[in-house]
Amino acid sequence: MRFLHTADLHLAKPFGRFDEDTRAALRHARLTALRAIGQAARDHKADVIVIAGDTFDAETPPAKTINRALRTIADVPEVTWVLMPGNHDSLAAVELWERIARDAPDNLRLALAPEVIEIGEDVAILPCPPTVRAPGMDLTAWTAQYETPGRIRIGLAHGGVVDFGSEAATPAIIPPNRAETAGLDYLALGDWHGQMQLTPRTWYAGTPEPDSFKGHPPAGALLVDIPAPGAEPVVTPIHLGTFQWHDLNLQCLEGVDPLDQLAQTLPQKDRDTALVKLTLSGRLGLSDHAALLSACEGLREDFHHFEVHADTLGIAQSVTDLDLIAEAGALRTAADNLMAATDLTGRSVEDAQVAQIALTHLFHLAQEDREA
Amino acid sequence: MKLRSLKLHNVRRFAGQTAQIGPFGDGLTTITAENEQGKSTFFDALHVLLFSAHSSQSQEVKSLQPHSGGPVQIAAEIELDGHNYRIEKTYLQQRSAQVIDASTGAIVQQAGDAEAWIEAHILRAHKGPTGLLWVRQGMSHVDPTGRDKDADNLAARRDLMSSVQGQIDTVTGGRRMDRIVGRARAELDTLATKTLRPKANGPWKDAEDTAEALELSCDQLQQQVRKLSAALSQKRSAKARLSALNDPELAQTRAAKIKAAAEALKTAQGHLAKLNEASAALDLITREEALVAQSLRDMDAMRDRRATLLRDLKAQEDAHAKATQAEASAAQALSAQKEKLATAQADRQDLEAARQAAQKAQATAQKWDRLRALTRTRDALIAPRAALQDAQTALSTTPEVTSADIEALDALRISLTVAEERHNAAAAKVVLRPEGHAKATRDGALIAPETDLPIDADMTITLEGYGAVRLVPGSAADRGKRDALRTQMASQLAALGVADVPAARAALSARQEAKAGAATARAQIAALAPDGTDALEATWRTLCAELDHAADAPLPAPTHETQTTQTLDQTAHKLDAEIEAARAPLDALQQAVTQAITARAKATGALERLATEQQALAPAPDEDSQRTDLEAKRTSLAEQRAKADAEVATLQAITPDVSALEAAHQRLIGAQTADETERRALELQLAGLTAEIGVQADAGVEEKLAETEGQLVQARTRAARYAQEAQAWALLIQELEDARQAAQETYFAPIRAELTPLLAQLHAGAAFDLDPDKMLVRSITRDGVTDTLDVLSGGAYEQIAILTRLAFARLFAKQGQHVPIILDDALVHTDDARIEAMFTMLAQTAQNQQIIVLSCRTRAFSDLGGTRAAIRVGVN
Repeated sequence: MRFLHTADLHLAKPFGRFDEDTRAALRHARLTALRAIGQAARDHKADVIVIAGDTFDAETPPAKTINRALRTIADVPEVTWVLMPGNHDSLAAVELWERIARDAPDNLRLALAPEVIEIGEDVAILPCPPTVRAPGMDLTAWTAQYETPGRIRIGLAHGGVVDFGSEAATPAIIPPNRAETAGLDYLALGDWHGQMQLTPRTWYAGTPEPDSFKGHPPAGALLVDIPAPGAEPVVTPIHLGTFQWHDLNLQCLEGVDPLDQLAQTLPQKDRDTALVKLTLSGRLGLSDHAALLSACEGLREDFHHFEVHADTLGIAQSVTDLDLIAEAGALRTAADNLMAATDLTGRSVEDAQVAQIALTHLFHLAQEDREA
Repeated sequence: MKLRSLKLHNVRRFAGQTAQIGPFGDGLTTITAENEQGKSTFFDALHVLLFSAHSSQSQEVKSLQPHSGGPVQIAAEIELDGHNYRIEKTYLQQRSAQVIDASTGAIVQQAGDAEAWIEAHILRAHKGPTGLLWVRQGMSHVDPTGRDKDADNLAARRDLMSSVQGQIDTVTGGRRMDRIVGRARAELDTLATKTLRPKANGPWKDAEDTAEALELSCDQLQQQVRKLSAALSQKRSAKARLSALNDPELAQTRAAKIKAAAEALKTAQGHLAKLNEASAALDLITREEALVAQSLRDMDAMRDRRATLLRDLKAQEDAHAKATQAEASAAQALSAQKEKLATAQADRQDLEAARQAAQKAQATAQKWDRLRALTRTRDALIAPRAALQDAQTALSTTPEVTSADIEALDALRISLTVAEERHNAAAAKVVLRPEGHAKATRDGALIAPETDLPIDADMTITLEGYGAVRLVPGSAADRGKRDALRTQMASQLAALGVADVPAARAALSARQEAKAGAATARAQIAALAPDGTDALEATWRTLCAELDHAADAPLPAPTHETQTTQTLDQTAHKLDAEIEAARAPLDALQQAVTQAITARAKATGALERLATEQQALAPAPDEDSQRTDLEAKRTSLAEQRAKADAEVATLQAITPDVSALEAAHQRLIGAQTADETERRALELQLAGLTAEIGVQADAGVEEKLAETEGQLVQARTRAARYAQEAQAWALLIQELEDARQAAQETYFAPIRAELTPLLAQLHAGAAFDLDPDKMLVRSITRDGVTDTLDVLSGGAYEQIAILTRLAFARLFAKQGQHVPIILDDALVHTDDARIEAMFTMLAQTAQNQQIIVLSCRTRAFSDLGGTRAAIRVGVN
């Protein structure tokens, strides 16, 4: 038995904080990911694709998104797709699931109830669909009570596992050893967007198309081989995804050229499909500060999305920098005062930031005036 | 720098001439000359020499050229750091510039290099034209409010400012500071208002507006999403409920229950029918039993009644006889009394008829009296009415002549008679004396013989037997008047309608008589018929009609009444009393009769009733056997009832509660119907919800909300960034201005120190405030009163202006920079007392300072002291 395990496609996710082009591209990439999954199943000769929830980002996704998704599924007719709701597209989304049930192609099996879905003679899928966004109970319990003699048992669930760090396990959370206690050959989980193995039989597939700067491992799906009931599964990650999300930090060090640091920090390849969130920290002299921000500004077009957070980048006191404003006189006095106001001692972070911006402006204006 | 001498050639009034002033010593030099001697020309030329390149064609340079044209030459000898130099420039034509070492005569620099030398050694080296601190005539009056558009004001200030600008710039940031502050202000201005609020059309405001709009959109979308969520939730519940309702197991159970309930109900209903039958039989027996008992009771009652009836009949017969007797006697009494009353009433009626007849006759007699009186009056009226008629006829037929008319006629007649007499006396006369009885006629009229016949008109006299003699009057004197009077007389008579005067008199008399007659007749008529003859006539005719009397028939003689109505009235009263007396007992008698009749009728009725009842109650022949049968039946029925009672009790004990079973059955049917109704309602609701959700889902509200929320975060971040930017610019501007202000204060401290003792000499105890922008005293405080410079007198104003320059000069001198002060016609407004003090201060300053004073006030400035210099013209 060979199948593909995926989850958390979040089709029609809006990505509201990005500009319009990026939003459109990111949304389109998620449909592309669905197609890629189908292709991967075909390439690896998998019989079944199980999607462990959150195929759709909302309870009422646009009709065109649903239609495109169903068409993509129908485009790989030799594979049986098993589609289960997640917390974003839970059974509470009655409209969505009614519509899908109505328009479903023949190769799509919907896991809308805690009932066994038999695939052929040998496989039993035991789905645990979330009834609502937060069901408040462990929906996988029933799998332990239900026997499927002679069949490979694949559990399908969506949600968090027990956090062993917390004082008491919440009953709403899936026990990580559910596969073992319920005699499942494999428990296919969804909800966590990074690929993760919990036990030899329990995996989170992660999202096939990354969707945040949270720094998950590379996105993709899981190819699972189970030779016979009770045999340990062989799980092979398959890499998928169009965009790379980079959450980068640049700690500026005095005496090190910040532009060199910047070059070393940023990815060199595939910049057009990269989304970068760069956080600058440390302290720089006024001229280095200006040069670094200017360089960042110049890089904006290289990447699909490039955002710089310089709130934590301080200004280092440097006589040379202040001399560039004025060696003496009232301008120098103002610069000295502003520099002093960037110090956090005895003032709020906000005030210090305002002073820092004011000082940067003074530096720029003085430079421009000198050049003029 | 010190200025040693100044030489001009071909400058303004010195066309084609050379003019020179100097030498100037280290201290005070005064040059006094009348106006138009060229003092200001020297002053302007020195300014051009230092500030205008030799290639300049500026207005300032051109203004130096005399009308005759030609090159303008200016030269100055200066001492700079212990060396003497001569600067020579030629402007406009043969242009050149040279700097010459005065001790050796060697050219140090020339042309552009000479200009650069001046710039480097005089202007820039000392960060300003430290060689010059001058006050020109009329230009000491610097307006401290600084209307820099005023060219004079600007120039005057420039004189002073330019000498210290370099140093000030270094300290205060100068124009660089100005530019940077300007840029910062411009940046802030695009973002924020003066109160640091987002500025309209600015990016900050735009970001705030965008955020606000997005918030609004978010709110709306959230509402829609909540609605959608609620619809989804409702749909979910509805579906769950519908699914429960459609559960086949539930339907099966319900059907079985309904069937069982129906069967139980049917069985119970069978029992109930039997019970009802038994109850009905029992009821029948009970009723029959009651009927038999009643029949027996009736028989007993009838027997008792028969006995009573016999007694009652006897009593009623007695009562009837008694009543009949009473009725007869009462009727007799009543009849007698009625007869009595009828007699009295008949008498009374007769009397009433007589009385009415008497009254009627009396009225008729009165009418006859009236008619007779009226007839008499009518008769009496005949004569006066005829008289009135005659008088009126006379008045209408007699000409209307008045006594005035008569008087006029008399007067006219007298005049005419006089005229005629005169005429006749004057006229020719003819006297006929016939012989025999021969007759003569005129116009047929016989002419009397022997009579004067005046020939007063053309007349023809016929003489019998002779023929006609025509006599023609001659012209007579008074004939015209006579004719006129005659004509007048004739016309007046014609107007009055009379033939002659006597006729007129007769007419007047007749009229007067007729009027008197008419008045008399009217008075008589009025006396006889005060209401008018018509009213009298109408009354008379009415009476004739009423009395049926023909108008022309003779009236009957009056009659006399035989019996008066009074007598009749007395008789009537008497009869009325009799009638009343007869009527009084009638009611009582009538009542007695009625009572007797009633009593008899009652007795008759009772007897009839009793007889009928007696007849009806006559015993049947088989009454006794009937009674025996009935008693036997009663016993039998009592036995049947006991049996039926027992049967009903038995059935009641075994019949179930049918109403409860019915209720149970109905309840189950009702539940089934309710399920069906609910199912239909749910299907409808589901259809509605599906449509609603479909609409919202198609609109992608959840997606839009998430997107809008993301955009809102972005917009808020952007707005916050702009707010921070605005704060940063505001902070920068504040810091820069604070620093500049502080720097200016620092810079002015030594100037203040220099100026204070100078000002104290003029205004003891005065404090002052310096304007850092204009380098001038802004206001001065004396005896607690603060005056701004513009309200001071012209004298005080120029004194302070000069003292400010002296202060600068002293400051420069202390720093080792010697600055010449040139005062050109200054102190023109200053009074004698103050001018002494000013002279003293100038002299005091001149100890370490070159001061050159140019003035036209030779006498006033004679006390200034110092070296005297003069303008020399024509000297090479």
